[in-house]
Amino acid sequence: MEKTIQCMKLSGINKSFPGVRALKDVSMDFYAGEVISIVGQNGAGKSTLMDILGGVKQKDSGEIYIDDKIVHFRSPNDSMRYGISYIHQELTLFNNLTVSENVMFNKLKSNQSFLFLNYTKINRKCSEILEKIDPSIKFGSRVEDLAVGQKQIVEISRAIATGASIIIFDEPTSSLTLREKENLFGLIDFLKSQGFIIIYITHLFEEIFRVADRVYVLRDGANAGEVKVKDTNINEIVKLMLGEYANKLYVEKNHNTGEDLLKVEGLYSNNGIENVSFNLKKREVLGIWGLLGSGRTELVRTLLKIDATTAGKVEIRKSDNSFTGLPKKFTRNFGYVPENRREEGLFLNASVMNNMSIGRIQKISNRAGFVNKGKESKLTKDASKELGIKMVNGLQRVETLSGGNQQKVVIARWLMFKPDIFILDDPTKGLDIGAKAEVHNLINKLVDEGISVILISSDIDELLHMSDRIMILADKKLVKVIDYKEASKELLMQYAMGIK
Amino acid sequence: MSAELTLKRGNRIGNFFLNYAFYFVFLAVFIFFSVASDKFFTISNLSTLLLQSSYYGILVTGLAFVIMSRDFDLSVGSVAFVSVSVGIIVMTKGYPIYAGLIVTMLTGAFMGFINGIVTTRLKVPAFITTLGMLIGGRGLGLILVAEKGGINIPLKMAQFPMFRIGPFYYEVIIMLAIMVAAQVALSRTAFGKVVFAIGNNEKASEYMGINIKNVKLLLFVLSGFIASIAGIIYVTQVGYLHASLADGWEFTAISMAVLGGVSLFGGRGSIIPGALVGVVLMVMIQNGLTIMGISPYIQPFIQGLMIFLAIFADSLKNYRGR
Repeated sequence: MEKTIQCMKLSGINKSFPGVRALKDVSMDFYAGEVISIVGQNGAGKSTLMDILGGVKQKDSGEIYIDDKIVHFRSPNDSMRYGISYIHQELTLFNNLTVSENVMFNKLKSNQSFLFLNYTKINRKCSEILEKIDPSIKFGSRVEDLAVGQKQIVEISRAIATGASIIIFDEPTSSLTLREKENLFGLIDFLKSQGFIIIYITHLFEEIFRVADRVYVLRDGANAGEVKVKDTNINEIVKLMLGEYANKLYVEKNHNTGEDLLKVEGLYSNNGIENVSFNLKKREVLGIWGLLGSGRTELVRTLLKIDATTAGKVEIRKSDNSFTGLPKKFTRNFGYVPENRREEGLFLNASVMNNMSIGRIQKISNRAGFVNKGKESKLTKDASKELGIKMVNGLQRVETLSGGNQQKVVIARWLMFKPDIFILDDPTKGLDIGAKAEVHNLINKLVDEGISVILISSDIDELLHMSDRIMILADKKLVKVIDYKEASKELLMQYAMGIK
Repeated sequence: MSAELTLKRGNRIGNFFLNYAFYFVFLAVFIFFSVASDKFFTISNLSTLLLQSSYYGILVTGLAFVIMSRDFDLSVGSVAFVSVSVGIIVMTKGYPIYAGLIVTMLTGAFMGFINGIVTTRLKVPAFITTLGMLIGGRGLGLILVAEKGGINIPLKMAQFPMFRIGPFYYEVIIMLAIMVAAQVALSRTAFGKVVFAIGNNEKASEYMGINIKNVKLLLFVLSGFIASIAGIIYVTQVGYLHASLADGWEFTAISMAVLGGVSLFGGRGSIIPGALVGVVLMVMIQNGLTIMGISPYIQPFIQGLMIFLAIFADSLKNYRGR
């Protein structure tokens, strides 16, 4: 397993997607026998960079050097041929095949004797690798019968069998138990001693300090710094991730928050939410902050009764001030604007009018089921005027609107129900600054009209800017609820990463 | 932890029954007919039963590969019809039988190629592509055949089903040869593993550098090619080419595959014993019910019930596998 590649260099890598510059002049060096960690906020460009190294996506410009020779990766095959193996966050094993078939998958063709697979050879080569890294796994087992940690070992074994010298791990510990994590770290140390180049993507600081030698920080798609792990500390890395404006101040909000509207006590759900309790006041914006996988979306899905509650209670204030459990149909109390407006929120090729009226199409239809076109069109006109939706007329197809206006259409649809609570899941994702501000103003307007808002966002500035209180989730548990006056970027980051 | 383990063991036992349920059903049905009718368990009936299975066995083999890669081919019946029609017409024009057979197989492969190109290159879902081929192909075949009202096939071909070695008709031996070859390809070659891999996890296959488009294209060609062979075998048994030849084969064949444990969710199944058991089970039910003199109108109902149960078991298995 002694490795031959001495170094890999990236120089001035650029990558754009329609409307976004995902990577700007990114340069990095990697040396044999070293673990390099790449960190950054959600959307900083880590995944894009790794997809380029893995041959999944192609760079627009810039060079990749392996041992000072320029290389080009046009497909995963190319990158594999140059000795790069990419261990994706979601496992990419074939559950229906055996361990040895999976480990040797890329080498099956070279292990045939006359047309037929030579299983003696395949199994022997597979066991040779497994013996070195985890002898407890048997080459003949079916992968579907293995535990998650073992599956990961199989994936690493496949990388080794394929002849990798450079192994990229993308958030490898997200579904591992504590013990499995320790195993993995031990294995990474071993690979390092064998001369592999290890690239380790994570957002968990403890792991960086456990396995990495060097850290590259990405911010908004560009290099934000490079530090040696032994000369640095968490605060320095967090500062690099967030940039200079780490503690920008925002104007006082004038949300006139009232008494409790919603009470959640000891909520457990079958999608993993554990013991979450909080309350939501009238005319309040409650922010929810957490990293990917922290349970933000799961919590919302539980509140909306899309996923089942297993314990705990959720109660809402009735008009006579007593609290009662939520009705089965969530729409009576909640308006929900999902994270992906294009996939989950809109009927893209339908008109603005259809998109708005679909929520209460029955109310504007007569008994025979015919839609009252006059009412429908008036409703659309009123709503678009109120929310300031820019469009030619109600018959325009939604997909031709700008992102911000599309989002307003989704909000308008729910507004027709006059919900008590709006749940907005990343409502400004992918919007430019102007459109963001419009959505923010709209949220404040909703609050003025007496609606409470639960705001999920990956944009930390937005949360600090909009929320009255911020609830921090990590690992599907509630970490803390803090008032916005006490909140800062660093604090939120530290809570979310479990270092405070 | 212990609760988790029990759960897992419970799943294992459940999966065992799900996996092998249709072997038990097969045995039960076999014993039932043997007891219920003295005409069922005779060498001549059983070898006829296998002869009746032969074209279906061949047909299902090609189709099963497509299903295992998590796709569909609804056109196999029409492909068989068109390719046999073209071949027989070539023979009636005075060309030798073998030339007609080669033309038949080339036509089948070509139709499969069209299915494959439209699906993988033009990105039309296979369901739609092959549905189009099912309807369009039938129409094309009717143009070729219907006006003549039916064409008698060359005598030598019609005599072919009479040859046998012991109780095994030649056609059964051809079926077994194709199925064994397919099973070996599936379990003993890199190609077979790639088919399973694509059926299990297309994204991961892409990351492994598999050219999914080309593999799927090849599977459609194979399915068309094999469907044409099934068509040849069938037409020798009925003796003449008629307008409803191979009508409705696609659903019978898909049902047989699923009955035999080929998962509609892709990535699971075998040709032998799996698909073979599915084919013979279905044919056996037809054969047994006919022998017992049960109303032919009940047969589709019983078949439907079997298919429903098979697909239900398949969904359960798939659900547990997650």
